[in-house]
Amino acid sequence: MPQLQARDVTVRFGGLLALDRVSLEVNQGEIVGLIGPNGAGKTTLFNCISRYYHPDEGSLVFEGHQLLQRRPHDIIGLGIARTFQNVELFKTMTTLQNMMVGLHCRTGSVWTNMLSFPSARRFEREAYVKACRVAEILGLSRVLDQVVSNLPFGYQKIIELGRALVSDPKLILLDEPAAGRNNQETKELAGLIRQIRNEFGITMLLVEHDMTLVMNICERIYVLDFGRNIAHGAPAEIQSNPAVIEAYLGEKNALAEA
Amino acid sequence: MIAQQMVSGLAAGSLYALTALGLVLIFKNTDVVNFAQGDFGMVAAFVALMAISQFKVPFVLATLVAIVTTAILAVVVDRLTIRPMKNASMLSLMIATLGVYMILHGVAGAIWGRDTKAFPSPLPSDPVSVNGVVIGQGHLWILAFGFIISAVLFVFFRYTTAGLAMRATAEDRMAARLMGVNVSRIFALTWGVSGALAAVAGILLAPLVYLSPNMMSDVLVKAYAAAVLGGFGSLPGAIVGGLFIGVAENLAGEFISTELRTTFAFVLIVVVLAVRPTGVFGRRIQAKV
Amino acid sequence: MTAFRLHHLLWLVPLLVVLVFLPSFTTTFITYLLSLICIYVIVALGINILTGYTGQMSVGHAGFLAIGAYTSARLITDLGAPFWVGMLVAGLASGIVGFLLGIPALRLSGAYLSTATLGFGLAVEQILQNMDSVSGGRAGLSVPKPSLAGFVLDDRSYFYFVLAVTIVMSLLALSILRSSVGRAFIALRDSEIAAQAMGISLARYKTLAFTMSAFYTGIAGALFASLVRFLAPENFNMWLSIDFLTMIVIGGLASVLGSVIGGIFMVTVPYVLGELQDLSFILMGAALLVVLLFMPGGISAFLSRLLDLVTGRTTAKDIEQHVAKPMGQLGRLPEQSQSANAPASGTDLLGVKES
Repeated sequence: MPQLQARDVTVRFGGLLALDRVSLEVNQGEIVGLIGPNGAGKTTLFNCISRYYHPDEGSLVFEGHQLLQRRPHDIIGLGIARTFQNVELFKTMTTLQNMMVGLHCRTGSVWTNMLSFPSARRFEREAYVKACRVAEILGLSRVLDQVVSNLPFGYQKIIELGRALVSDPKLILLDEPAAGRNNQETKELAGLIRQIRNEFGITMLLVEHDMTLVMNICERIYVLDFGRNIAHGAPAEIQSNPAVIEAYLGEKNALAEA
Repeated sequence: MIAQQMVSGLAAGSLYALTALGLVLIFKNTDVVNFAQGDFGMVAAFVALMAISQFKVPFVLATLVAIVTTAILAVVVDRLTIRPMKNASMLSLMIATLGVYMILHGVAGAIWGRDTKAFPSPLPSDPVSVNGVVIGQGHLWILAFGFIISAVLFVFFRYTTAGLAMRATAEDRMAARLMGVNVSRIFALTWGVSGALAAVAGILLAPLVYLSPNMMSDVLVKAYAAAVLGGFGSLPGAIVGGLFIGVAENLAGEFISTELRTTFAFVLIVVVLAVRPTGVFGRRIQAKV
Repeated sequence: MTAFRLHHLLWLVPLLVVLVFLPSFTTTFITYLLSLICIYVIVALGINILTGYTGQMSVGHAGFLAIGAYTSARLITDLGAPFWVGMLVAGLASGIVGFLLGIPALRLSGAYLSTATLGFGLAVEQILQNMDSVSGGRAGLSVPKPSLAGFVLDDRSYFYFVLAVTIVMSLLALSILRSSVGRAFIALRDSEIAAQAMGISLARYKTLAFTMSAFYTGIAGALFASLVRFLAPENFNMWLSIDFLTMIVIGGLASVLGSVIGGIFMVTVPYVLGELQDLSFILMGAALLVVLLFMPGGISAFLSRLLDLVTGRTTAKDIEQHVAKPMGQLGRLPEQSQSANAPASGTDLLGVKES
């Protein structure tokens, strides 16, 4: 039984079909890629999983939980964390504070926290320690006390990943993690993503335009085009799939290079 | 009796609509919720009064001077306060216009004093009777001007290059810039037109009330309600919202309680917003992530 | 929000000393002003929770102050309730109204929310004007001198009582806002979508912010009623709401220290200017613009930066050191994790025990 199962997910924006009966399965511990030209509906699918959009049809099941019956803030408690394409950090907070919010889903009741009961103080200490550990792993220790809006884009993307990690997720949705990185940095990122999966057994589902990265680390790939699922399979299959090449016409070189 | 309330409601509503049009125009084009909109009208009324009583300028000319002065004032306000904070949050921008509101209020009080003044109007104001409905002529003038100005705005946005450029900027600022629209000039134009609208509202209101720095407060609040009802981003919505508020508060005043008119307007907007959080004409906005 | 540093609160120590001893040397009028400052500080804390921390603009907080003031005044005059009971009930009553207003406000933002709160403030004023049974009609409503445990408080003892309440409320705010609750408020302000993705319930925390904000303002209303001892609905007008908003912007949004500074500013400046009402309007408006344009974070952030500079805790060098660093070693993992076996998914991820 797959960990995450999307079945016939359909989203309409007015007359536009953003997602047209898209189905996808992700198994525990896999690294799965979701690719497609701009506007293919990749981020829309992420937004359905994190319940920001409500699909018109279809179902989303994560470890036996019907996601469509959950509210947006319940999703992370089930073990699904995400990052955002254009970075949605809490821009006035420091790196440390951002990452501590990652543990919010494990917080006790509002009241114990407001009146800073001992349990709340213990929780704060744990959140602090945990955020520091994650920061160490991601190489963010030096910027812990920096307000994130002052940091370069590449740092912000990694902080988002850190915030997701702090929540103890089972699955992380990564939205264009390599955006704004050069080749060398992307290579390091590939190692990092693999490391996180290997060490902690966290499943990764990533949307990415950098074909080198996708072909490198993903075990399976789904391809979307105009909201439809046009192909899925191992990287080698995808690279030689005529439908995919058709969809990427003009970007053919991107596929060949990888 | 009802017909009479309807007409005076429509007249009051026209003032709300004129002020709301300026609010919506600025909001659509520059993302600023302008608290100073009402006080632009107050300044215009005082400028016109000063021109008439101190410099003995004829009424029509005084009105024109007041409108132009206010339009320039609005452009200056934009240049000095709003434009320098172009990356600020909507909250900060709103608060900045609150600062402008306070300054205009204080300056008007310092120059023209806090005691109320009567405003001379050359337009006849005796009530006329149409089919047994007695209507103040002042109300009729407001209705007539409200209608004319709406028509002019419609033509402006429909058929002139500047109007089209303004609409394009409101729709998609980046795209408009790429299409060669001078966005900075459009902002200035937006504030200028909104200032002129406020000036007309202020001068139309002036003969019916006494002039004081506070004269536009009530109109501003109702204009807000009108803009919210209309969806804060829709010009026809602002007009319909303004007329609706005007009529509704007059009818509520007639049949329920005169003193609680503002309260009814508030309850009305809360009910409407509870059902449709972006107003009757408003589009649903979903942030892109 | 700049990182919180304890030494930023050092400003408050001399302030407290002055506040404690000043009434012994000055006139009752100064004592009255000091009490008023404390009350404004409580209001500033309340409105800062909603507007500064959670990012929800309110132009109607005079309405909450009125609800607090009239609730307490009525309980004292009609039911003979002890003054402190009136104060607590006033806070609760205002908090409940805040909660109720918070529900429709949940779905509103920006222009819509400010209009709704503006309407709320005006509606409260208008309803009070028309409910003679509550407001005492044209005659207004007189409130007796506050008494505590059978003793009628004179101006100076009342000031100490108000000061004590202010200190308690400030510490409470500080503790709440530095907890995960405060982080949730700021998270919602900075990015609603990311906050929800991180498990923060929009409905719960926004209504909580409204309720807390109204509770604070209601307590302040009760203290205000027993200080001025005469209430008229027109004292709770739109300008008062605007003053409240102004003072937290000038003092510092999302800052407890900023609330304190804002309260002091908003009481003293109009008092110093006295009869020069127009000048006061102009100065307040200009101060708002100056802060927005040149002093992000208000006076409190300015003072904090100044203090950092004075005490040699300048962060400029640190920033350079951290930020200018190229993105070199982001992928590097520390030694100990290289050899670790992959634990089962989701459990005890980083060796920190979950509670």
